[in-house]
Amino acid sequence: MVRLRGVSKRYQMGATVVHALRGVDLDLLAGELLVLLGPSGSGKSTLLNILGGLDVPTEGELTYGDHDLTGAGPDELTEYRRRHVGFVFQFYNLIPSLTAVENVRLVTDISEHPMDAAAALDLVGLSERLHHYPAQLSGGEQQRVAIARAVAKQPQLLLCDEPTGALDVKTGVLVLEALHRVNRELGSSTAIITHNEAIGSMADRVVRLRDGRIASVERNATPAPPSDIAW
Amino acid sequence: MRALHRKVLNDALRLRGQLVAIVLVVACGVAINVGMRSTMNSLLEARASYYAHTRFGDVFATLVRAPERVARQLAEIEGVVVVETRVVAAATLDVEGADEVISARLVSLPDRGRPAVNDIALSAGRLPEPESADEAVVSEAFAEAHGLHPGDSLTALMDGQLQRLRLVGVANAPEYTYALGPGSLFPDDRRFGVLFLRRAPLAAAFDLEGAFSDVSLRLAPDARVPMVLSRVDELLEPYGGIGAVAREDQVSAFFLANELIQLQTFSRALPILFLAVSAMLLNVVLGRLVATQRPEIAALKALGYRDREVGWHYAELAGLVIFGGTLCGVLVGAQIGGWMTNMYGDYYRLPTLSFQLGAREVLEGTVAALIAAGVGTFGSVRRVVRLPPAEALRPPAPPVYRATLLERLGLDRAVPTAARMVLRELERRPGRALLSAAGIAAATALAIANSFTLDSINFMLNVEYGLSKRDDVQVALAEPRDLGVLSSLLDLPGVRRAEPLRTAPVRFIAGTRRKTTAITAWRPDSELVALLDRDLAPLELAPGGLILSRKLGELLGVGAGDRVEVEVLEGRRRRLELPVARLAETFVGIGAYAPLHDLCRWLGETESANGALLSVDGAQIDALHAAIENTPLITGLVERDAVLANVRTMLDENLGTMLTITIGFSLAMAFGVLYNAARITLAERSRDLASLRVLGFRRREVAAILVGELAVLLVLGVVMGLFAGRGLAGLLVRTPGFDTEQFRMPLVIDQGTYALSAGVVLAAGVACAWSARRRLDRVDLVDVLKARD
Repeated sequence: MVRLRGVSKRYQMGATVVHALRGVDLDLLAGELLVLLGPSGSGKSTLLNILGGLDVPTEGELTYGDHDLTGAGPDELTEYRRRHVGFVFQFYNLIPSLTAVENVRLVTDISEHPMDAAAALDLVGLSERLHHYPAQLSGGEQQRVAIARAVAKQPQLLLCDEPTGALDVKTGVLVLEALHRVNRELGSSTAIITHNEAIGSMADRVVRLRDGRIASVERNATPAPPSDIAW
Repeated sequence: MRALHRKVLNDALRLRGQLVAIVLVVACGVAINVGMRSTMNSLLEARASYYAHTRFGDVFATLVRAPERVARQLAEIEGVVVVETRVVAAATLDVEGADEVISARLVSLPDRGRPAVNDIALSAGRLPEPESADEAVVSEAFAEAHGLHPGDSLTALMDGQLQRLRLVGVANAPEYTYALGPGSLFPDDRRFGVLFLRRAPLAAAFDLEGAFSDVSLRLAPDARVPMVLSRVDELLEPYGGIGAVAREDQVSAFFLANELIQLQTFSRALPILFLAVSAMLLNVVLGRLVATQRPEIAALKALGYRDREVGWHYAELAGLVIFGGTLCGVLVGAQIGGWMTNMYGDYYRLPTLSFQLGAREVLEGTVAALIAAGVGTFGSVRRVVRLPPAEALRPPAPPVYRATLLERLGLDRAVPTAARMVLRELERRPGRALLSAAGIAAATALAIANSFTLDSINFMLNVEYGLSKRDDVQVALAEPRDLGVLSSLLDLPGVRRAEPLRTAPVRFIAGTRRKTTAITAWRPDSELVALLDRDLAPLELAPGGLILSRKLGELLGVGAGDRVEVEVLEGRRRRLELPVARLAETFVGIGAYAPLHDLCRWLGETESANGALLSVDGAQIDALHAAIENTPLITGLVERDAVLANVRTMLDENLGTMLTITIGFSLAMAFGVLYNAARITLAERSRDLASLRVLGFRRREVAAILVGELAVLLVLGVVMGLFAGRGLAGLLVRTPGFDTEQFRMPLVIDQGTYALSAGVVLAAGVACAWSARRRLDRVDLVDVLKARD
């Protein structure tokens, strides 16, 4: 569904040039759950940003379905995100002045075929917390609101940047269960980036990055349920 | 440079836009203080040296005719040091190349030497030769208006005799610093001039040989002025004295003093307003800086910096702003002071007037700015000092929001999610939102309070010269005439209607209060003049009674139904007790009004007139001028269109400058408040807004949230400002400089003034919102998401 070919990304950092990505080829298939593993600095966040249309590659091609997004401008990328992509951030990025359900509604308001905001929160097990403000929710709950917000537009692509990075194991598992459920029930292609090896066991495919290159790709015939994961 | 100082500069550089906006506001406050107060002091100084140099009188009296020996009696009054008797008379002038009818005052100089009181200050030429009959010195403003120089000639119609006068000098006189002709409120240098002649020829022309018609006194410093005034009145009463006045009530001195009072009011109030807003802005900006730099504060303290060192470090930033603001303020203030002093110089002829930048005012402005900085930074610096290092290392508690009042009341169905963000953000920090709105309101109110005076003057003119007086020309007659005089007036070219006026100088006495003014009378069926009530509806004259102008009623403490004692100051000087029927609304002067036949009856004479109101065919106005110049009967003339044109010219000349300054100040204040509000909102919301962008919101959708917040503040502030502006103007018209015997500024604010004031502030708002939006467009989405605020 999403296709990267020969994607490189270079940043100028003061006097030095940082090669964040060096010729990455990757396909994200419909409905699959992909885990991108790698130590910090391996280029996984850059890869996710490019997949999500937040950043553009220095070289290489990006296509979504039959849309070529390689030379897309900011407006085209906005439309791409608006229609097809759901984002989950490491630090949730909820709007503190809006309740859980309103945070989700932010997205349903601008989507073409959204699900009901309350249903999205139900999907992540928060039907009891609809009218709580972020400051009244635990970290895990906030992250699940963020997931509900990301999936409420029924995105073809769900991108998660260290979704459990700021959480303890127990809450982290709850969040992973929510992601798993969304992936299975809505069929959104899901990419999770993490440096946590254990999360790889729930993936259909595990891609390892090192120094901006894909180091290995493993197919997982029998993904483990998130409840079996521990770290 | 120490690292901490380097950090101050770096912070200042990073916040430069916001700091420059505050510098602007501080600069305005300092500029007004320095500019206006230096102007005021320059005027005060020029006035003091002028009055001293010319030995300006302390008491002034005019009368009909007194023998010179009365002067000796006057000199014997306790406290009187010098007595200067003069011949002062009215005349009309014919200046080559001038179409208008020119009223002049002829003032005598002693036959030899200079006057002991009320000397004149020559700016060109010389004094007339002793006892020369045809030499005159002309007032400078009039000379400039007509391009007259020593060596030129003009013709004066003096008591029915045409006299050719040769100008030998140009001068200013302290009594005519603000040179008002008869019946005017603003100087009209083309239609009114003063001529100084040696006394003998003037006395001969007006049949005042061995006599005087005007006297000025200089008093000892400890003289009791009210005692002197009443003694002078007593002595002059048999000679047609119409009441002596102290220097403070001398027309020119009064207007100049009043101008200084107005200047004082503005120059005290405006800097306070600006510096209060500066303090508010520093408070907001520094508060925000301290909140975002908690980790840095912690690190500095952990490294061993003392609490007060870290606190001082933040105070230094405010110090930079104050330094910049004061410096700019002094420079701009000097410029503004120069303009204002020049402008005043056009109306108030003070020969030594020049703008002096006062060191004291600069110091005052600097101290005031420092106080504002202290008030504005105290809270933030205290927070820095008190923050324990360990606490500073923890992130601040997440902001707590709740449903807005609107939502708690269940009125939220129609409120879109983005609007909720805006409303809750504002409600979460109501103090800050209100402060910002108050700053915007202050800018709006300032614009209104500074520019409504024009509406007020226009309204005054429309009432006085539209509703109240509907004549085209008012003429003054040399002496009271029976009403047969109307037919000779009707014979003048272009005169369509002539109505008699009778004015009699009187002193009103109510208990211990006394007021010298005049009763003006006309026929009850008059079409060319009307009194107005409080709602500006026409008011009939009261048969057998007086109608007083509201201000006169206030001064005497009398109202409708009361009786008032009247001392007539002419003719048989009767004393009467008359009923007050009503009060009438007038904005110019104070006076009393009665039907013509009643006044004449009170005076003990048959119906007569010493003036007339004329309705004139505009096409024949020049012919009328020419005829009047040759009619000894008429000694003065006020032409409505000329008065209005003169005022409008005067307003137009200065309005540009004043409006530019006013609007500039309001704009600076609005910009200071709004730019900071926009930048802080942007800084605080950029993470939220960038999150929305990542979620697929378009630029303009995200910008709408940012701009929405500013728009709410802006609209709230402007609406508050419109009310506050009216309130401020209302206060202003009640201050002594705006509510005087000579004129009362009505509280009138046109819609155009509201619109202009709101428009200026809204324009500043739009500019700031636009700049914030551009910055928002440039926010790097990826960067914002990485940083955990």
